[in-house]
Amino acid sequence: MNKLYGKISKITSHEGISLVNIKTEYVTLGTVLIDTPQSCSYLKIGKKITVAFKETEVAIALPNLGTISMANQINCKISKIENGKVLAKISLTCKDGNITSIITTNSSQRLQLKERLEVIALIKANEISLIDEEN
Amino acid sequence: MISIDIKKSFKNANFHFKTQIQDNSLNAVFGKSGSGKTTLLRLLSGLETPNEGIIKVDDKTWFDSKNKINLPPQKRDIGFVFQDYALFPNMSVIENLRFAQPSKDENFLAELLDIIELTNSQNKYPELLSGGQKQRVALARAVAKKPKLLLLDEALSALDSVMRVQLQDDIENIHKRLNLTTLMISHDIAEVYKLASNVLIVEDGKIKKSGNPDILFENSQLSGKFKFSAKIMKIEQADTIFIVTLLIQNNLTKVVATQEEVRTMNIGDDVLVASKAFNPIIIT
Repeated sequence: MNKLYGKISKITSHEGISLVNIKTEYVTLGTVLIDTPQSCSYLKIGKKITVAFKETEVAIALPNLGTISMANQINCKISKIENGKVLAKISLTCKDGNITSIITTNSSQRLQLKERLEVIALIKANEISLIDEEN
Repeated sequence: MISIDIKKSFKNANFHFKTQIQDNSLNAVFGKSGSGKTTLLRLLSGLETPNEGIIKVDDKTWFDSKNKINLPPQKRDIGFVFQDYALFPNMSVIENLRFAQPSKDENFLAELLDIIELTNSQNKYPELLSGGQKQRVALARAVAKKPKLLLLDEALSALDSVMRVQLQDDIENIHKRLNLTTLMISHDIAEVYKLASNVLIVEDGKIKKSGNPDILFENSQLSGKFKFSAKIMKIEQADTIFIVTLLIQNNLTKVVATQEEVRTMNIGDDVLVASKAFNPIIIT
């Protein structure tokens, strides 16, 4: 599980669903939750929160990415690549910490990923979980 | 409407129940053991006498400590079903039902027997019935006098899951057919969701919250997420990742993990497995 740390900066809720923005030191990430500040006690502006997402939910794009719906974009540098027969494990370093991405080896080769290459890690808003580690 | 504001003290426990219950509502009483759920039902039924307070059902007063009113259980217009059926063993099914009717109404008994699917077994004695059938008779007996209020104290918890679903349907049918107001103690969240229009959450001898069943999600142990307790059964490497086999209740499932994650996992560990509510696919 990938983890980044930040504070809740914005909450937009409607009919039980919320879009929550979390500001880490260097980026703002958004997540969609089936919860609201009424149903979930840690949904408060300014609350310290852990942003968690699975390695298999991290897509990788080369820089100068065109228009895309995924708003969660983190600039990274590839620190290590392990290409398996089917799946490739891409270790990334960003300003906020380390991220791992698991994509197909086909895609890893198609993008000609290699160590030290600058890439963008993309995470869909509905794939990000929040964990209240203070509780 | 039923208005309750009663206090009761025992040696080690104090209870103060205050709420209003709408007519024809099916209320689940939810809470940890020892929180006071059974005490609430016993106080309502008259099996236990409050130290002070008032119980009013529409314009009738069942209990009023100030005016020294305390209707005995048999005058309170209630039906009560416990976990153990307590049928009269020397009476047949129909005789058990008849015994509970102050004024005879054979047509209504025939209808009840039809709802609980025991028309053909009405002359059998309880010892020849299965546990589920006995509990269906107990339910029919509790409503044979057409009470205003039906109280169910974990009435289904001794039954297997198939019988339990059957009894849930019976409760739903009888509740609607008789325009009852029902209070049902249950630990089964599926049951609460299926049946209840209102949930009373009992905590430390008080009704902490009440509202539609969604208030159960406000309980810290539950959240809107896809979240289960699981046991780790197997960890195996596959390509550049690991596959962790988990036992969730009686189902084996597989979840993908990384090497860094499996380093902290051991076979037999109890873990929590969670996903966002957006991911699971429902196949009907």
